Amino acid sequence: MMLYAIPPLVAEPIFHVADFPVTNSYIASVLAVLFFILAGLILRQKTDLIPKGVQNFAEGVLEFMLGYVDRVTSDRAKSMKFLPIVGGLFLFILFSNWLGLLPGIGSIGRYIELHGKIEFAPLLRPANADLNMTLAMAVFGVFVPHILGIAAIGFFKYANKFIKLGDLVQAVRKGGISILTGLIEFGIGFLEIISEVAKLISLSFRLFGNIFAGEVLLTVMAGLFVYFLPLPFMFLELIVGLIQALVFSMLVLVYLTMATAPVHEAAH
Amino acid sequence: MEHQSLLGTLGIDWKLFVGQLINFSIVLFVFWKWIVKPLGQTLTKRQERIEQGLKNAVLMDEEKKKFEEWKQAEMRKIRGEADQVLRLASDTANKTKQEIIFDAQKQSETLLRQAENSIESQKQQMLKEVKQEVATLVVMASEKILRAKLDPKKDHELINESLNGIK
Repeated sequence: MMLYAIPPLVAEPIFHVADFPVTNSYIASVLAVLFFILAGLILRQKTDLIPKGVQNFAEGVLEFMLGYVDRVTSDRAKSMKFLPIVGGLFLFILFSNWLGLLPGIGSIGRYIELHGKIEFAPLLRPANADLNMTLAMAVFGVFVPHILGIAAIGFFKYANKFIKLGDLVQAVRKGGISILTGLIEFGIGFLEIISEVAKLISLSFRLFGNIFAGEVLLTVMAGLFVYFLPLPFMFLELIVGLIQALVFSMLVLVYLTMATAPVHEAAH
Repeated sequence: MEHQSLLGTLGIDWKLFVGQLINFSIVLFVFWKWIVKPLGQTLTKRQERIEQGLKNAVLMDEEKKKFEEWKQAEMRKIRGEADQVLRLASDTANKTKQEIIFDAQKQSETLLRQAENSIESQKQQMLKEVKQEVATLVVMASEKILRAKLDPKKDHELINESLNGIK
């Protein structure tokens, strides 16, 4: 008899609400939502000019993140606009990742029928160990910069980043060698479109892969020897959780900054 | 479909995807509306307050310096005025003193003169009265002498009498 079960790739549905499969990852993400609502309810009234306690801590975190965002955007107004998106992403991912390390998550569960046989399914599974969650955030992180970019520099100028028809027309008017560069630029535009899809996949799979692998690693280590052996891997997962949250939010921040930056007129 | 089954093995389920997207959106909304917005405003407000405070402090320092200068100037002015008043007072006092002394001298001189005058007039009066007395005595003595011419004895007595009278 196996003492441990390696978590499957797909989050297990614990129960169904109408037609909606409530998976263990979904439960974890709902927990995170509840945590943020609670934190929001506490912090929304804490706007004293002389901060103390929770407000002090929250302001510290906020200013720290703002400092990081400032370094990428080098513009306070832009930073304040991006902070809710980037900071929210960071804190949500971080909270979910670290929540997954708590004891009981991945080990407390019920036996349910899966794929035709009775299997053990943990009640909670790290929210980011479900591709649905990471993909949802990746879609958000890739599409919101486009929307903000269009809002910042106008639809046609923004579309010209990908379908460089305007540049091509200009190049043909100039004539000569610039027609060739224009054609190459047009091709690069298509590559940009492909890279957007690549962004989507890399963002979602990186986070999913790291957290899922961490979960598997911890399960295997605990299965090999349950005392002390998983400890260094727990520390490792703490760091991985932080780094993945940082990577995800930083990439989205870079997308946001690039998308809203004014277009430089092609001066080749 | 091949594509569909690939997504299926990866656990992609559009219902779950939408559910997670909604969850995540709630988190972002809460974070933006209840945390970043109020706290960001507080941070901005506090920064403004601190800047205003620092500006005020500089302003206060300047005001203080200006007030100090004004105070010094005013003190100098007042001290000058006080000196002048003092000088004026001592001058007036001196003058008054001189006047009083002068008056007193004059008065004493007048009194002296008056006293001298009255003494002189009394002396004159006395002299006049003495002369008159002497004249009267001489007349009386002459009469007595003339009457007693006939009697030498009487003459002698008369002389004695007159002498006694003079005494």
